[in-house]
Amino acid sequence: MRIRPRQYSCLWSARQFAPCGPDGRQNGRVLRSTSRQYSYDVVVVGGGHAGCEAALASARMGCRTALLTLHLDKIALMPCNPAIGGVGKGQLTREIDALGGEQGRNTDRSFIQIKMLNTSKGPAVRALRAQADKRLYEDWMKVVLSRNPRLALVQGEAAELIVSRETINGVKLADGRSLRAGAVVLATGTFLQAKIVIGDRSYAAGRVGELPALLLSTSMRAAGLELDRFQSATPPRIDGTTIDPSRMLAQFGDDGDLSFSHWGTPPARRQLPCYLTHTTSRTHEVVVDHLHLSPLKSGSVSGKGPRYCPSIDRKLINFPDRDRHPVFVEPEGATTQEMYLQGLTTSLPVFVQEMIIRATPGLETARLVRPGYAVEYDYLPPQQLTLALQTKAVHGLFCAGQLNGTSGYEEAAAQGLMAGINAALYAQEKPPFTLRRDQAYIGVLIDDLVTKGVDEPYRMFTSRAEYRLLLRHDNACDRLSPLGHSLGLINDEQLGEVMVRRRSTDDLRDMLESTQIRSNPESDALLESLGSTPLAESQSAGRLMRRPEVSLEAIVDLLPLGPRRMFEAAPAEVIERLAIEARYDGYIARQLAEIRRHRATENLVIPAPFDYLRVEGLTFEAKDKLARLRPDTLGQASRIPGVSPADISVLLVHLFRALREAQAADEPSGGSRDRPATCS
Amino acid sequence: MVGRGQAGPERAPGSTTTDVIVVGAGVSGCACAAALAAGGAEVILMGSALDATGLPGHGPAVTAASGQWEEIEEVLRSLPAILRRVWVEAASVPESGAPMLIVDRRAVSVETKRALEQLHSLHFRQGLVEDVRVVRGPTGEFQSVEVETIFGEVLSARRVVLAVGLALGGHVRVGAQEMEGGRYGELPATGLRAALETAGAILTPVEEEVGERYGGNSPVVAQAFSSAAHTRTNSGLVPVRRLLESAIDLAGGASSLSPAAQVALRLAASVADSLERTECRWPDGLPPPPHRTKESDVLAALLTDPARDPRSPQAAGARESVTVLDKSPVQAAALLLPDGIATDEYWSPTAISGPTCSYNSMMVRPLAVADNSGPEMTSGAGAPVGSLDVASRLRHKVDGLVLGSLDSGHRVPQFGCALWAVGRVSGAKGYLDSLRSGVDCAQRLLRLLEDDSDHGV
Repeated sequence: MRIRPRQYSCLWSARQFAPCGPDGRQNGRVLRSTSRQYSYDVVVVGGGHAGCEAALASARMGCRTALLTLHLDKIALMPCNPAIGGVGKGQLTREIDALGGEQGRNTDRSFIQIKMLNTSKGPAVRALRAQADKRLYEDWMKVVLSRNPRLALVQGEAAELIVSRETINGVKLADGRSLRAGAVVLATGTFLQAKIVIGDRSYAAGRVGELPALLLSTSMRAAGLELDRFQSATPPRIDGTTIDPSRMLAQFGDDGDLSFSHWGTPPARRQLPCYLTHTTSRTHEVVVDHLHLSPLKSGSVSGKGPRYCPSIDRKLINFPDRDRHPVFVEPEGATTQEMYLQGLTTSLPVFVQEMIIRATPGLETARLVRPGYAVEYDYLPPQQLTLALQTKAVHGLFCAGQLNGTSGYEEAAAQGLMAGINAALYAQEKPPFTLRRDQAYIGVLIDDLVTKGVDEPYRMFTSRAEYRLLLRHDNACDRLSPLGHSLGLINDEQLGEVMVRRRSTDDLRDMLESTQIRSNPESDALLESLGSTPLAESQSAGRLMRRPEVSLEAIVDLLPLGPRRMFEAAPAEVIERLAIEARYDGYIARQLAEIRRHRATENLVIPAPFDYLRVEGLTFEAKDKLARLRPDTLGQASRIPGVSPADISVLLVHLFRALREAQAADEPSGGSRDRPATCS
Repeated sequence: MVGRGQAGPERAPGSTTTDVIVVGAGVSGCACAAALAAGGAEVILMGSALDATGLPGHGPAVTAASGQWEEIEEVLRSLPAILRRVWVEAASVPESGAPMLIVDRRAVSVETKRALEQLHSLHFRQGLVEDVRVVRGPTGEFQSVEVETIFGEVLSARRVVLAVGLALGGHVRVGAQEMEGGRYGELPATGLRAALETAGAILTPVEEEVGERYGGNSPVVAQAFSSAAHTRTNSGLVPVRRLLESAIDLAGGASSLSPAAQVALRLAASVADSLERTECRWPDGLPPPPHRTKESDVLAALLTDPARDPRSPQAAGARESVTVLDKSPVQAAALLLPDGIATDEYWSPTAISGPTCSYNSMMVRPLAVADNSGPEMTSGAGAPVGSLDVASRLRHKVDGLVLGSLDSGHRVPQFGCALWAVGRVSGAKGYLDSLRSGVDCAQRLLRLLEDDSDHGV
């Protein structure tokens, strides 16, 4: 085999190829738009899921915003599974929507299947998942971005951060232009110093066929930011006309009018099926036989990959006893016949990928269209960020998305939205906007990232939220839309809708609580038929509903005519929420009490700068970690690995004492002792 | 930077030789592959990034070298029905009568992929081709031709067609930046160039300029539109799709229509002929793309706050001539062509120099962009838009290599009859020329493949 030496390292160079004359002319033609400066309030670097949300949030909050992207024809691309939602992730998308973000709406414009997961399980783990048409998702997002009157879309490569005195001033483009802004959001995804790998071969590319961003990493390091390597991978795509659906289990979407967005009417839509199959011992043999060719083994990938989205090679290494793994064959859209093989993520050589596919039931004659591959890229260890996603090293510089070491479109969009909001607030000289762990999954996500850091690409799960009974997909609006409204991302009409829905839920609950059900032969018979015990004495319908075996719908006949009419007129989502809140009333109350107890210390702000070395009684490790990570609040400090509850007590005492001393200094006459010490 | 493994080229066990591999899934590659598959050949269409399949890379204008409508119509008629439909449906005709089509680029890309997937003997494959070589038997006789991708995958065919545009030794220059690649942001075909040079193929340098674009919300566009109100050449567009969707009798025509509308009608009729035979209609009940949605519905779908967003349907009024596709003017005072409904960018062609010049029978003058390199704007009240006069995409130059001295327009002589070329890399200029060369090459190859089988090759 011939091996040709090639120089890929100089794919992009920022040198001036032909300097202009003094009159700005080059080869007789006026050179416009080079080395010119444009000024904005906020500049967003990156046009993926984080970048789109950041740019829209900033523009909608009134900031003149530029979105800079390497390729304007690749906005909001879904390079992996064109699916939005799932357990944990679906809640994030609902929260994005409730705050005034775009991901939920854009999914509704483009989905080809939608379903509610875990309907038989508890309400905390119920979540929506939709399969989108990947091309339509891009097109509709581009429509939204291009129609915003304050948003400029700019194609170009960010070459350099303009930083002076630890403060961001804008971004310099490789083509010579400068976009000046007081706030910059970096959402570069997997493009920094990116490398694509299959088997033992690799080349520099951000996504398949696209040039990577080779310049920005250097500038970020120069600004004092540390970068590390992660990797991610995507499975092969096949031609959907060559599969055998009769050998697989068809999986359909839910009937009815499900939608991610809270706003507008859900689309009435025909849906396309997905198919479920599984790997076989033959598949496993193929993988094991060729494991030596895996980039995992050959060492051509050095970055850490996502544990919860492992490649098939990794799954066989970690679970040698499992004789089969599920494979979901999912359509990539209405615009294409291509199908995605969820569960067969691999970067083994292409001929092995074909063998793996053909050893899978239903895919024996499937034709490979796009080989799977791995991508390795620079990420920014997120402990360098504040809760507002601002870098601690450079004022006004915000980071979001896969750059911060996460995986998934939902995690990216959630961070993008928050970074966009905070960049806009920073530009407008307003205090930052953060969400607590008890308010939103978005709060959990960002707190986890900036407090604990990541040692593999981070993915959201319901188990990461300690208050998940409160953070449900059905109450995202109640929790967040008033906040979105105060930011200017939710309009009066939308807030009105939320209020009406909340009020009708409360009214219905009050009505049920005040409606007494008498013990009589009719009610006894009905309760017995439901497997419940008859009433000993009169009880309110509200209390009766708390019995796990009794549903609202089942006891509707026992209600008097007035309340029954009210119940029948209520929308389905109101009844669902009412049922959840009634059934889990006790747990929810307990979580709320716990939150109130915690909040006093959780939100105690640690003044910056703060000299941890001066605090007596802290362990050496705690001093080191705290000084390095500089947490914003005591709650954040308590979640840093290596900081013990004892350290937190020491810190708490120290902070209270400092606070009292400060107050005493302010008011020498005293009398301020009873003032609450928290800042919440 | 490139990791190259020690293992040799890899081939799937039991892999077979296909009739033709087309390398490059742009305008000419798609036309060639579609015509081959429509003629019964087994084709693998390879693209380095399949999401860009069929994307017209250089702006929305389809013009004829002869400057005649007949040429445009003739080329469109020569396309396989399934592909003709894509181009005609995405096209608008300028009311001024200038012989050009304005296509929605994104619509052409999405619909080309969809249409070509309907052809059962055409198979897509993603991969950047790095090598091409002829395989000969023990006595030196031609057996097959192989291509190898950057991932080490080897595919084999009886003929290979190169449709790689300017990716051979391509350089893109944007302002102070220079990068490799045949199209902005895409990877170059470096290995393929080396393979062709090693075989002694003659490569000739060419240069192309790609116009700049501005967002539809840019003051540059607004200014151009307002100043155009006084000029005679300001002109609307007749979208062919509207005619196909309307109740107009396509075959009968109507003499009261403007000349442009009559052209649009003829184009629509050329598609309507084959409506029953193709299956490109949008599937019922599935989400529609923006390019199949009316502009007013596109805006309604945005669900924006009417008070804040001047582009929402309620507030569109003043800017209707910009936002409603039916009336999108071909701007003549400063030529700006709409790039498509999803992108909402406006393209300024490159060929304009001097104070005024002729562009496809239209007298135009170059776009004037106010120089704002002076003091920076500040974000004061009363400034609803920021520096939106930034070009969304800068004017840039692409240098590349094209194959010189091709036999009968398509065959690369150094590879016997194994390697062919279409589109830009074969010297074609513009979309129309690329489409024509793709179809023409396919027809020659179909005859050749038939001869092969007649002689038992």
